[in-house]
Amino acid sequence: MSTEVREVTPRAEPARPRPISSKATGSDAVFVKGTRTVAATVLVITGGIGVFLASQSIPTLRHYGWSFFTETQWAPETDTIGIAAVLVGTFTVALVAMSIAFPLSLATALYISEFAPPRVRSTLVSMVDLMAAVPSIIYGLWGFFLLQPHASAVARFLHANLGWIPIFDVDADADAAQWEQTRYTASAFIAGLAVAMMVMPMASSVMREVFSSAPLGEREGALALGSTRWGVIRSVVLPFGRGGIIGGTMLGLGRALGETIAVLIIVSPRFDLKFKPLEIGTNTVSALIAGRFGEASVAQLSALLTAGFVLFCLTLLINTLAAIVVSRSRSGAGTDI
Amino acid sequence: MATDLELTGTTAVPTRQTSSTPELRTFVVARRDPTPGPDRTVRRRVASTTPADRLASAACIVSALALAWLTCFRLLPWGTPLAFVLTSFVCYLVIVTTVTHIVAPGPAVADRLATSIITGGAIVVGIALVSTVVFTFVRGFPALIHPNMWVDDMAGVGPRDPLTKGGVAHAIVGSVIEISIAILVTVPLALGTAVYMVEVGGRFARIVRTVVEAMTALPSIIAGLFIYTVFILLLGVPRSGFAAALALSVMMLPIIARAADVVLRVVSSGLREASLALGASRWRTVWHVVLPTARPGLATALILGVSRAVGETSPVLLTSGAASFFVFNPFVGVMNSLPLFVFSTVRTGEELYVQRGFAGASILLLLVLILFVVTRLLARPRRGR
Amino acid sequence: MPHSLVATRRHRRARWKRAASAALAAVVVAILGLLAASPASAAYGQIEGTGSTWSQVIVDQWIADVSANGMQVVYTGGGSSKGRKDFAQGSTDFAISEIPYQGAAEQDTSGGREFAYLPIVAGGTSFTYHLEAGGKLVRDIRLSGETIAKIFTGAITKWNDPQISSDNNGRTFPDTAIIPVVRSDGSGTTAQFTTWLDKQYPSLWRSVYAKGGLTSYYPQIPSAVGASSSDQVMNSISAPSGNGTIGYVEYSYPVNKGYPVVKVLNAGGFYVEPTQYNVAVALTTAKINTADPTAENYLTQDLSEVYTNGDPRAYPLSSYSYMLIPTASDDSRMKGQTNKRQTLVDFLFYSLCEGQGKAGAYGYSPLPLNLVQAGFEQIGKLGAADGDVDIAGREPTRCNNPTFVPGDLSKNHLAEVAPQPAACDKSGAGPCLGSDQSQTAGGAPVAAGAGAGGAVTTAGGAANGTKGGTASAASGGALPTAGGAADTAGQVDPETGLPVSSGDGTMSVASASVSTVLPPRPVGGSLLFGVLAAIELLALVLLPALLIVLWRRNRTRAITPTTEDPWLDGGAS
Repeated sequence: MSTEVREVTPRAEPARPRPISSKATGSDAVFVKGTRTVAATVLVITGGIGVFLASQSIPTLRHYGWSFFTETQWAPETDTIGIAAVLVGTFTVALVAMSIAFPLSLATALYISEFAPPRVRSTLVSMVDLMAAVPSIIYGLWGFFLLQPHASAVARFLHANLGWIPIFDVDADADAAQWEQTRYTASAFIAGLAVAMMVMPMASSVMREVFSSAPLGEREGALALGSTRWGVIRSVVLPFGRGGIIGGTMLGLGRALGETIAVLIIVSPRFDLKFKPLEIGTNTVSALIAGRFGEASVAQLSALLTAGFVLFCLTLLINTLAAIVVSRSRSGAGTDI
Repeated sequence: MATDLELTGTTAVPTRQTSSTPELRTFVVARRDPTPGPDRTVRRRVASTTPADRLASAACIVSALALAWLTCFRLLPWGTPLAFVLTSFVCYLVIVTTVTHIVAPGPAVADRLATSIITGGAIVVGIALVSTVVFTFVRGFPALIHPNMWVDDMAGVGPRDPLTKGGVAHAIVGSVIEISIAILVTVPLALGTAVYMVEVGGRFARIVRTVVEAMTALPSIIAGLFIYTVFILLLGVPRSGFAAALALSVMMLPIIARAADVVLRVVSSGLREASLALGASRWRTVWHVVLPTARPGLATALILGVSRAVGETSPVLLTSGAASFFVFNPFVGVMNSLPLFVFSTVRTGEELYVQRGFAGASILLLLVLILFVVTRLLARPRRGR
Repeated sequence: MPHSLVATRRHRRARWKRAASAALAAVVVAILGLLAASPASAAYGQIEGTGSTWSQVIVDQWIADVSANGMQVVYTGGGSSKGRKDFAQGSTDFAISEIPYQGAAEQDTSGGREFAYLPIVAGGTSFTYHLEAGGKLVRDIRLSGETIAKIFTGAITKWNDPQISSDNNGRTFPDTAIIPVVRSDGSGTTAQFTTWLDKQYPSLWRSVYAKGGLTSYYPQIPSAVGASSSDQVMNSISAPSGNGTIGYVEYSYPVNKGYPVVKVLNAGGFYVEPTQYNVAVALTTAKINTADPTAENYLTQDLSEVYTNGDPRAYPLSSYSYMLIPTASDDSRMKGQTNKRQTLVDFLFYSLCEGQGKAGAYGYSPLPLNLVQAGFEQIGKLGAADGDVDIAGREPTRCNNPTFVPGDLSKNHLAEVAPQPAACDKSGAGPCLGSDQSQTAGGAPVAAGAGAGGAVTTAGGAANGTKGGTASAASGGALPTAGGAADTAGQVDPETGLPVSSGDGTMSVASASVSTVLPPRPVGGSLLFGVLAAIELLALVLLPALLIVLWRRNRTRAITPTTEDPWLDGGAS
């Protein structure tokens, strides 16, 4: 009597996964194909713009060559066309805008995320969002009608007292009995002020989002170690939010480069290779396009499209870099407890 | 160290696990404090001010204002409000630093200084925003109080006619028509693309996503220039509301598609899987589960795109022309819109026209405010779900 | 209630859906309805044009006038270059330009579109300025052509330049820098001005524009600032910050703003303003190309004899402005659209006929009869292109045009009645003071009939009530012969050109302008001391506090060197 232990191997087939097809059938096929068609259309439309701009810039670049980037004048009647001056102007306006918008947006973001009473915080966030929604032409009007008289006085003050620094220089007599106010108006500085209003909310909301996601544990740790609020900001929030600060600033810069209408309202167009933001007269790529598209012949239109293409490439580059920086800063660069 | 600090304040250590082996419990012996007292456990509040602080701040502000007044209006030739405000701020910083220094050490001084600067920056931004809105309405007010401004067009209004003649209604109508067409063009395309990118996926979707994201960087003037060159010059479409709507669509399309993409991506995949597990097809899942769930977010995306487009001047400047009377047909003939009306009237420099321009700007701002409030209401989390 | 919550919700959703679809349907129906209702067969269609801002003021007024008859005309300016280009591209129905197409070499042709030039109005390119002395606007500046050329080529940079002073017979102006404001966009005004510069002062002009000839884009000179379109030029000058600026625009812009214009020296030796009379006189010597009515350049102008017109009343920078109208029967924008052609025809009939009566009041000058008649012939080409267009029954001689003399249509009435300039406007005499603002500030100088034409008149401040009344009230009515209150520059005897003074008849010319020149503020020293004082003040206020800080710190350190944290001390106390 022995119990025999037999090992019985079941005859069953080895388990094989049920074939799953990702191929859509029936209405799903229609759905997939339909959305794919739509996506392809959008790709053609949006990508088409880039391709169109690039293709239009070929004849211009072939005609003018490198001088298109080094020539300052835009004089279609004498066939001298170049974007050196407008590129410099574009960057001057954008840099002025960023040098004002950066500290203010940083302060706003810090205030909302660190200092504001919790009750009003969401209201303040809404206000910053509202600021981003205000049309740019209204900032243009604000800059032109309300700000310009004061800003030109500031420009004169800077020129009179800091005129020995090249960027504060203006080609005028600062101490003249009747000051030449015209020379201090319609400048890159005033345009930059209006553009700063436009880019500030954008930069500020990116920064604020990153700041408010600074790890709570580190904040509390710093507070528990006796840190002041500023100490928390300095040792936790700012290091953690560095990516957000850089990324938000660059996103703002990208927007500032392409801003048109406020610049068009404020500046007096001029094609000069100069770095005097306080002085009247500058031009940006977008203001050049808005000012000259109507009277452009086929060749000049192609040149304007080329200028637009260059602007687009610059904006794209800056936005891409900003996106990379922001996304990296959000993917757990800080250490959470 | 951190653990020690955390536990000393509590007298009874709560135990999470009520195990049967009490000898394994961790015990933290309360530190013997040299100066035990009843107020030892009172927590120091980190985020509030004492009456003394407030008094000191108020005194600092008053003295800063007084000093700045002396400096600006009596000592130096800077008698402008702007200089006064700036000088006051600088004086305030100096005084507050010194005053804090009397009672507190370095870190507290730095904290107070940083607080002042950051708060000052935020106040500047607030003032800028408020001044923008208030200035626009104040300048537009003389024209806005005339009812004809809201219902009339500018036909037959000469450069010297008073504000009781003419209005901006034609520009409002133009804006509404252009935006409506742009929405009709954009929404199906953007939504379809977003659905494709999120629900179908694949390598092609990645390409589309890359291109769409890149195109959000497109400056609006270039969108206008593109439509101007291709449609108006090459294809011979007349300058019209339709051309302007196309330019706005080109500008809005990447923005809305990208925002919708983000919104659809955060729809919980559990919902999707549940629907699929119940046997629904992908099409029905998208239509009955994903899109309804994301509806508030999608509406927000749309309205954000619209509020951006409605105030955009440069694309319409290149493509629509500007009629001074009501134009209802977007396909034939030039059409005006609010931003363009504001731009052209303000630049004439005629005082009456400038006032009309500001009236238009106020209405534009009002429109954006309404859209903004609607966005907020839609984006608000639903109650009871 | 038997209805469950789910049911209500479903009900609500259904209602919402129904409402949404209803709204969508309403939008679609509305759009379709609008499309159907758009007046494709009405008598008038919507026509659009772009171009010159030189003539925009009067064209806008004409458009406002005809809109009562149901004509929908859109004119958005943008500059002559834009007007010609838009017309060539077929995106507008008409264009207005000061100069004709410049030819293929400059990529400026009509692109094969058939068209005709049609003079619409005459006017003077004026030089308006903003110069303050003692807080008041300086008026009555007069300049010779050469001075103007030097100003706009950067050779003269200060308002107190001796050449300006000698143009004004010794009257001096403040030591303010001259800021020329030029057009930054492609402009017919620039083209007219540079034509004149090129013809009259070629060497000066070629020093900044080596190519020579006219240009629509003013070359960039260091002292000048740019502004797009005439109204931007005018705004830059009339802005509160615009002290020292001078720019060139059509006379209507300064008239509207109440700003003074330069009296320009003509070949007859007088300084004159671009009033409708002086422009009409000057243009009597314009050579209009009337050789071949079928040629493209039919009716275009050659102004070289206008510049040298020896009549003492002639304003040298006078010119005509032209409309470009499409004449082909298969024109891309007009084909089969009789209503649009009819709108253009009726708008042009109004402009050339009744509209001319308004020209003077708005700072332009009406067309003479021969050009109105030629214009009517050009309008006839529109009728030839489409037989359904009604052009019958229009008689140019019945128009309310101040240049016409009933009964004798060969004369230009305006040029005949144009008053002679005052003696004080003669080169080397004067200067006339106080006449200028009575015209510009009054807005509509010709409404009164008398008093225009640059002559010294009896018009006083009372006539200037409408616009800029305060400015004119301040200095208006100060007539040389009236012996009224003296303005800033003082009274000037028209015979000798010397200032009249109550007590001292031998007062020198220079002293008349003493009040206009401010001594420079001694800024440097006071600023330094001011800053020092401010710093001292701050130190005075803060020093006690700082001393307390130091003292406490020392005491804390001295008494309790082991105390690690004075903050707790401070907090506890």
